[in-house]
Amino acid sequence: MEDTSPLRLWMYRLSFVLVGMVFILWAIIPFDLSAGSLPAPDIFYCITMGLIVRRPEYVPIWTIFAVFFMRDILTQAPLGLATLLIVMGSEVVRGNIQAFREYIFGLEWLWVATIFVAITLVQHVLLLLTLSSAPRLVEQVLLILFTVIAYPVTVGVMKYAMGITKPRPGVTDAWGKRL
Amino acid sequence: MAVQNDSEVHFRRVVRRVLVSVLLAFLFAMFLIWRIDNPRAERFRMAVIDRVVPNLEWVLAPVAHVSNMIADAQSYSRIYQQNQELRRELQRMKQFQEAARQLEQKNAKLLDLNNVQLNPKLTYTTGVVMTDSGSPFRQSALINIGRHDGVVDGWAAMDGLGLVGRISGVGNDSSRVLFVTDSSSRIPVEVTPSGRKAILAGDNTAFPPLEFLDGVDQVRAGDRVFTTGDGGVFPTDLLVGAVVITNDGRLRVKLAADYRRLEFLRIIRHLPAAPISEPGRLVGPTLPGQVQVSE
Repeated sequence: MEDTSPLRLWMYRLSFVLVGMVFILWAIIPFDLSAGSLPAPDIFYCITMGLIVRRPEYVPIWTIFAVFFMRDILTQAPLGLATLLIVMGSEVVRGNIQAFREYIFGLEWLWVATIFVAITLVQHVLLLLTLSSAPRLVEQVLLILFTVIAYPVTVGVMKYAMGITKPRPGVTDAWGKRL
Repeated sequence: MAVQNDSEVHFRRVVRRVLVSVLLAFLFAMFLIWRIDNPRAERFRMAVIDRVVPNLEWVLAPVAHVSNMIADAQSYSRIYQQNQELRRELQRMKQFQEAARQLEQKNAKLLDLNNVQLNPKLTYTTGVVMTDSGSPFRQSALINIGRHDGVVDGWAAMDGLGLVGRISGVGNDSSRVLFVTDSSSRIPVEVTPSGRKAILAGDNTAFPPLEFLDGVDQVRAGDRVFTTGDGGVFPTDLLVGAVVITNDGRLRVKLAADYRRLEFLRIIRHLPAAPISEPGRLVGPTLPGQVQVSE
């Protein structure tokens, strides 16, 4: 029998926020301040999406909002823009959770990649429309590429190292609701 | 337990949808505010950072320190090679030292002849780099001095040798340094010895290009680039770097500051010269019909 107690649920929610903070801190530690380095994959986006597909109850919308908004603030990004799009993307997955549950992994991968491309594109267009400075497209294409490659690895780690999988049919939470 | 009222489920779904819409509207409004009233939004950001980052220093400092130690340890492995390089460099430096000494003496004599007063206002304060921007798309760093230490927006930041960037955003105990490599950085510079003026426009690469350069044909690779006081933002004659010419013929600047090893930044205290806004007056008794200007 799977452990679905509220304590465990809240532990997962808290660790999601903590892992998010660790990723932000890792990014802002001043290792090398020279310009022109390659963009690192957005692994925390992969974690968020992978978790929503597998266990949406671990990542309620307010934790996604809190962590990504904090990231916007601390990384000098346009305030709220990336958060807005990622929250929207996460809601798209959450709204179609049943479909995502039944997809084979390749299809899930394709959809998560498509959403990331859409997020990056809309972000770029909005920045251009508001006449803000947008990052160069070359770098963004690289970011998309690296992030898409990182997704299966992230999901693999979550599945085989941490045992986070899609719930088996019939598993219920502490209140008897079907997952 | 599993039986739930249909209307209750429906009600919850509607409430959730409303809350999500409110959240999305809030985020979009936040973005618009950031765009429309940027200084205010950036002040809000600095206030949050000012609260959060200094409290995290106990995490950030050791990790950065360990990574530096590892980098140092790696450099031990090629210590012989480095030794050879250093010897060669030392040889070359001795030549320069001799030349510099002679120039220094000559300069002192000339200054004495001209009775020149050097600007005594150009002092500096030093800050430690706490964090960087955390994104490859934005080039900036956070340092641990702020309003309490008298830092003002727009002051120049240097490492020991060359210009690094300028202060852009000041909190009480921290401030943000926008690097000259950032794509929103524009700095008026002068290329010596030709004296041609240009704008150093950051574009997110390690070698920012020179734009609006007048007289391209008089500029050569290796010419040194300094700041000008144009616009009253920067003090004059801070070393920026040297001109390089890329394969496609563009003029770029190899920065003198070493961005890979930035730990301390010098913030140059700069008080722009008082502007002269009215014509000069004669010193003397007030004539009839002349308005006395109070001091």
